[in-house]
Amino acid sequence: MEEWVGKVWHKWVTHSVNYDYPQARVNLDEMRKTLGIVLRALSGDASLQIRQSVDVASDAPRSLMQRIAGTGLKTSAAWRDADSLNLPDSIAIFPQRELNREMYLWLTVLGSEEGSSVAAYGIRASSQSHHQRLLSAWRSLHPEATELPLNLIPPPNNPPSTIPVSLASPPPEAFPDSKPTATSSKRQRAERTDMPDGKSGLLMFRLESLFSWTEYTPVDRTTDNDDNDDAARAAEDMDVITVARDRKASSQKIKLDLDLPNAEYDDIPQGEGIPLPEWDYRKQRLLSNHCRLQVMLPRGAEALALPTHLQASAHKLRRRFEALQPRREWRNHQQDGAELDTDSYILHLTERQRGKVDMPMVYRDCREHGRDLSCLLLADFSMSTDSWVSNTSRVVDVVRDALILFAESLSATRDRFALYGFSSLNRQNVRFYQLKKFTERYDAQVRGRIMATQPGYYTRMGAAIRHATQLLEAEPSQQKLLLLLTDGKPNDLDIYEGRYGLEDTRMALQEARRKGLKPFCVTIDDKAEDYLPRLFGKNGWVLLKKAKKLPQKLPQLYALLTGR
Amino acid sequence: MALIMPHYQEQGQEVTLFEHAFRRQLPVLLKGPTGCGKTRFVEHMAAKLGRPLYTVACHDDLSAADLVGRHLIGDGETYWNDGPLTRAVREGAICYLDEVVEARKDTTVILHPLSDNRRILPIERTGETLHALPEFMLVVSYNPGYQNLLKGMKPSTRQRFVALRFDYPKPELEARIVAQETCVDDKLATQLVALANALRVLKEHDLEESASTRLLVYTATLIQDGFEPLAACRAALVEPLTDDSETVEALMEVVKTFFA
Ligand SMILES: Nc1ncnc2c1ncn2[C@@H]1O[C@H](COP(=O)(O)OP(=O)(O)OP(=O)(O)O)[C@@H](O)[C@H]1O
Ligand SMILES: [Mg+2]
Repeated sequence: MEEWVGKVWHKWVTHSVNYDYPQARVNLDEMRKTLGIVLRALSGDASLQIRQSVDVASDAPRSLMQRIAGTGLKTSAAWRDADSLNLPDSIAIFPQRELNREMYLWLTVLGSEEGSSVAAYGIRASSQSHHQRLLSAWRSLHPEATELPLNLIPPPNNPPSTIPVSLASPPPEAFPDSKPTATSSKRQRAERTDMPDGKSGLLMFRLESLFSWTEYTPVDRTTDNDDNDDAARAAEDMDVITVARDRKASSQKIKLDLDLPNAEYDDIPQGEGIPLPEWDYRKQRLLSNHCRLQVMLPRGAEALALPTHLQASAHKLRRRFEALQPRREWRNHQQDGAELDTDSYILHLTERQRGKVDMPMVYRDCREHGRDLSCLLLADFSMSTDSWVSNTSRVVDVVRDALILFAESLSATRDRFALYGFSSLNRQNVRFYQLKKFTERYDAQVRGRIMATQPGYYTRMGAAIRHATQLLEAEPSQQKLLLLLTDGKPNDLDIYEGRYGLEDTRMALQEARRKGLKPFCVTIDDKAEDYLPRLFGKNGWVLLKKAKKLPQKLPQLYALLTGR
Repeated sequence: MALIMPHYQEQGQEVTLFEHAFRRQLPVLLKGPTGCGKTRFVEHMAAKLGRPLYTVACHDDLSAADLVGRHLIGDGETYWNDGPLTRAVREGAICYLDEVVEARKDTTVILHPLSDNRRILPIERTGETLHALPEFMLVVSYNPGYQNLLKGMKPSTRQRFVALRFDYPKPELEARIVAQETCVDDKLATQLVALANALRVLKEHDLEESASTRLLVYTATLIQDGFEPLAACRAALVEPLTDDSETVEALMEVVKTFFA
């Protein structure tokens, strides 16, 4: 069996596949969810994803494209790599839909066996018969065939990890070529998303993660294809690019110093800047007035209707949350009320037997029981949220949708909530976007602000958390939930990267907890396990592996967290 | 008092630890996901130690009076009726409060003086203060996880207990449990456990919950009783995990790779 799977794995399919039966075509999109679940369950690896092989192919270096095109496999290649199973966008090789579906499932079972431990039991036996079934169906159509026309091929050169990163190319003498590093998943994300349109290539990947985190350097700066042009154009778009290099350090650092826009184009400041302290772990001391936070309204916000693509979800969520309206609650032991409270009445009788004569508190009354809860949602709008999560949306689009659906859901309840966003550019410019105050209603205006908030700059989390804490502290509720939505670590241009930023954020969260707040973090950074447990505690955060799911998941999470 | 000892498959040193705690009058906190054997463990230990067991499933309406007791109306008069906690304190029994974080806040006030070295239960309504018998033991459980973020246990409560963490048993142990509980053969038990572990990978990403040992036992019971395996898995393992029909069908595809 082992051997047989091995053969299948290594077999290149060289003849092109004809899409014979369009009426029975099954598209990957219809099956993506199912296949993803099967893949993750059988492989034992919860982080694996189903991807469309053609997407990857077109992202890949030219040589790969040619190889795939040359073998006629452009849309029918299927292979497994470290973090995904890549499948054709549709299958129509059988005249019955059911068999085409089976074909997808079969490829997924095969793909899950690669390096799996969980699969060891049971699957092998059943996959044999699964394969037999498909093969005999295929043979009845093509009697001369000896194998199925679709099989896994070896990963074509690991496309994602060898895509050159397009960067502003530095003067060659200052930067000798560095070898590509073992890629972190974050890097991969950056790399996959770097060139969808030539113009703004530079801004589209996770600058922050590449530049300001020493652990991700050295950066692969291979410059082939036509990156040079893109990079040059992108460089023109920048006001200043400072390239710093520390010869002594083992890794090189590059930082971009982005100027803030002119005041007349920038977001609109609200009130004076707010001075905030920051924790310096090296001195073990809180530096007072170290940061300045500016509350701002996003420029150009106009009242907006609920975006059409969210209407169905919003409707569903509202219905669900309305059903969870505060319960009417019976209060016992009242002086006056609608019904007799038997328990209190008996107590009253007992006391009387003992000769105590009290005011009879023997009624129960029904009152609306508001939940004594305020929630502040704080969303990271730093530049990294400008990177792409799919062909059509960036992180920031997902975050905006999430904010809107969150607000839709919560406004169907009576829980008090506020929405803010933040980013930063050095300690003097912590930008705090006021999207919805606790006292404001959620309406078209709020939606406008959410949609008008632009991603940019860095992530000085500590300051933003401290101000959010102040706002929550002023709330009258008993329970205060601080929900942080982010896609990465704290960082900023200055010392705030690495340990310093993490320690300050940790301190800000400790202060919040001391003030009775419950902080909770929702992240889409798949490296979060490395640092979030230390900041939020083991049960104080969740990772959403599929960023696109965030808008749907966030209200659900809120319901779970608050015990609805 | 339990006459037969419910079977419990030990996973680590929990039995010995519990015995020590009982002897030295230390309260015990059990943490762990649903259906992993917490209740079974307590039942087993109560029988083993020969103590009666009072189990209370806590919920958000459970008040102090439900634990301590209340006055009832009798023959023209009212009389006092002990709650389960009071009874356990008087009789020297084990009192097990399941999902203790669900209970109303006023209940923790009662638990504090009982769970430190005072071991007393003041009954406000009768003016009595009970001193627990040496055999009295308080056991509470809760399911840590972010669902309980807001409810959580206060450190001052949690730090009164010796804590034991439970989780779904290792595959060989879990298979043995399933086989013993239901009399299915080892092969089927192993297969079911492998399937459950495949489904557990999906926790938090595709599913909110993990398939519990309890569900495995249910599934095995149905199969043992002659119900068709695929349908048994659907009814006892898959449908209880999610309401989303697309996810159900996807999980069934996983099931089919185990039970073709
Ligand atoms: N270690 C074990 N030994 C024997 N049976 C076990 C064991 N673990 C689990 N079981 C089986 O699983 C079933 C469920 O376990 P139990 O009721 O103790 O779960 P629990 O942890 O108390 O769950 P909950 O938190 O939902 O109350 C038991 O009835 C028993 O059949
Ligand atoms: Mg139980």
